[in-house]
Amino acid sequence: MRLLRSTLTAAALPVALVTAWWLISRGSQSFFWPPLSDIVAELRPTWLGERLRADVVPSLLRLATGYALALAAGILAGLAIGLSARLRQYCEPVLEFCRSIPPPVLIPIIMLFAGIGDQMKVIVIVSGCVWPVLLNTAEGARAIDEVLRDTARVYRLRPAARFRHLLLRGASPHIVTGARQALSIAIILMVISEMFAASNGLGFATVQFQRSFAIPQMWSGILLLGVIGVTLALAFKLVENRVLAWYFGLRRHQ
Amino acid sequence: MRRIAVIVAVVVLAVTAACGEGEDDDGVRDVTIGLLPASVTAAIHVGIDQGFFEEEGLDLSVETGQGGAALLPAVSSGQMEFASSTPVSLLLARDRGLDVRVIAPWTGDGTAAEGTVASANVVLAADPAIRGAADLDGRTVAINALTSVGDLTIREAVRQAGGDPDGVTFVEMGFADMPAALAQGNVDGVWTAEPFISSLIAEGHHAVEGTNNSDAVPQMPTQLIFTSGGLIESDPELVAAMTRALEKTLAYVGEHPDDVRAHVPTVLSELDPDIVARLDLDVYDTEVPRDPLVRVGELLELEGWIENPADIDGLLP
Repeated sequence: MRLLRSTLTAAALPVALVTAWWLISRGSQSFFWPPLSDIVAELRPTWLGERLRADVVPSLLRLATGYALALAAGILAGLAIGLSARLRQYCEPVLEFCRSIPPPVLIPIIMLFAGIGDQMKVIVIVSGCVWPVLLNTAEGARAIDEVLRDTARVYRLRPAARFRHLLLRGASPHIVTGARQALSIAIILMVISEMFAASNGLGFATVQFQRSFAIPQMWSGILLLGVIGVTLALAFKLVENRVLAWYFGLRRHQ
Repeated sequence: MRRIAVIVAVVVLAVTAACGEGEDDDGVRDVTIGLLPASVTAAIHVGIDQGFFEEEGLDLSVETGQGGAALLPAVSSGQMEFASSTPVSLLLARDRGLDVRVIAPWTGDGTAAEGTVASANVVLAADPAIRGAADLDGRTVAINALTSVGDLTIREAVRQAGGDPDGVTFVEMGFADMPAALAQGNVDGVWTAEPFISSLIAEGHHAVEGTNNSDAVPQMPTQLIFTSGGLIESDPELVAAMTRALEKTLAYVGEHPDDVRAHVPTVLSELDPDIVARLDLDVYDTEVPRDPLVRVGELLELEGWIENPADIDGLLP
C-alpha cells in the first residue's frame, strides 16, 4: 500500500507535465514545436531500427566504460588520499585545479593524444566523472570511525579484508554520493563528446537531426536521452538500496 | 513589495528595449543580420561604412555569434530579420517545410586572383598517395558539418573520379581543430577554407585533385542572404530596401578589396595581422546563379537527403 502510494506520488508530476505538453502542443503548426504526438510517433521508427545498433548502443557502451573507469580510479585514488594526511596536503591544490576545468574545453587537447575514436570520448567522460567520486571517497575514508579502525587493528584484519570490510564499506555512503553526481555528469559528457569529431552516437544523431531540420526526430532524441537518464537513476537507486542497506538500517536505529 | 514592483518594471523595460525592433522617431528601422564569424563578414562593415544601409533607412546590426544551420531557426522565428547560409542548408530547410527565401547573393566560389587554390574549399592531405578524389575511397575526411556542402561535394567528386563515395568516412570538427588532426594522422584529409588553406600548404600539405567545390558544382555560391517568407509577406518594403542596400554593398566590395581586408579585424579581432595581410579574400557574387543551385538540388536528391525535388523556384527571389 505504501509502495503504491509513493509510486503514485512520484508519477503525478511527470504525468501532469506530459499531459499538459500533449494538450498544449496538439495541432501545433510551429515548425520547431511539433505536437508531442508527432514526436512520440517518431520514437520507434527513429531509434528502434538501424540506429539502435549504430547510435544508441555505441553511446551506452562508451558511457558504461567511462563511468566504470572513473569509479575505479576515483575510489582507489580517493581512498589513498583520504587515508594519508600528507598525500592530501600535496594533492589538494592540484585536485582543486583539475576539477574546476570543464571537460568540454579539454576535448581539442584530448583529441591530440587520444585521437578521435571511442578512446577520446571515454577519456572525456572519465575526465569529468572522476572528481566527484574521488573527492567524496577521500572525505569518506577520512570520516571512518576511529573505533572501527582500532577494532580492525586489534582483530589483525588482513590487508584484503581491511580494504573490503573497513575502507570500502566505511567510505561507501560517501562513495555512493559521489557516484550519483558522477552519473549525471557522465550522461552530459557522453552527449558533449559526441559533438566533436564523431560519426555515431545518440548526441551525434540528435545534433544531425537538428542540422538537417528533422525537428520531430530531434525532439525524439532529446526525449530518449531524458528517458535514459531517468532509467539509470532508478537503477542506481536499486543498487544503492542494496549496497547501503546496512547504513540506512544503522541510521534508523540511531 | 515596492522592491518587487521596481524589479518587475526594470525587467519589463529591459525586455521592451531589447525587442526594440521597429521604427525610431526619425523613421530609421533597426534590423539585424546574422553572418558567419569569418573574414567574409568584413564586407558588410564596408557597406555600413559607405552608408548604403543608412540611405535605405536601415540601422543594421551584425550578429556573428553563431554560424551555419543555427541561423535558420533564428530567422524563421523572427529573432533576426536576415542571415546567410549555404544553398545546401537552405534547400534542406525548404524540403522540411521551413519557409526561407533568398533575397540576395553573398559569397561565390573561388578566391581572389592571387589565391593559393582555385576554390573556397578543398580537401588537403598529407599522404602523397592521396592524389585525386578517387584515392579518398577508404579514407577518413574531416569536414566542418555533416550533411552539408562538404560531404555533398566530396561524395560527388569521388563518384565522378570513379570511386565509391560510401567508402569515405566523414567526421565533423571545427576548421581550427583540423590541422592538428591531420598532423596526428587521426584523419587522412581535411576539407578546409582560408586562412587554413594557405598555412597548411605552406607546411607541405597538398590539395587533392578534383575536390574543389567547383569540381562537383561549377560556380556554386558558398553563402546566400535569406529571410523568412513571413517577413517578405508582412513587410515587403523592408525586404526590398535591404536587398537594394546589399546589392550596392556587393557591387562596391567587388571593386574595393582593400576596404574588405581593412575590415577583417572588425570581425576577427584576434587574427594575426600577418595572416590578415596575405589572406585570400572571398569572391562576392552580384547575382544569384540559378544553374549551380539546380545542380545542388539534383545532388541532394541523388543522396536521398531531400524527399521531393529541390524547391529552387520557392527559394529564389
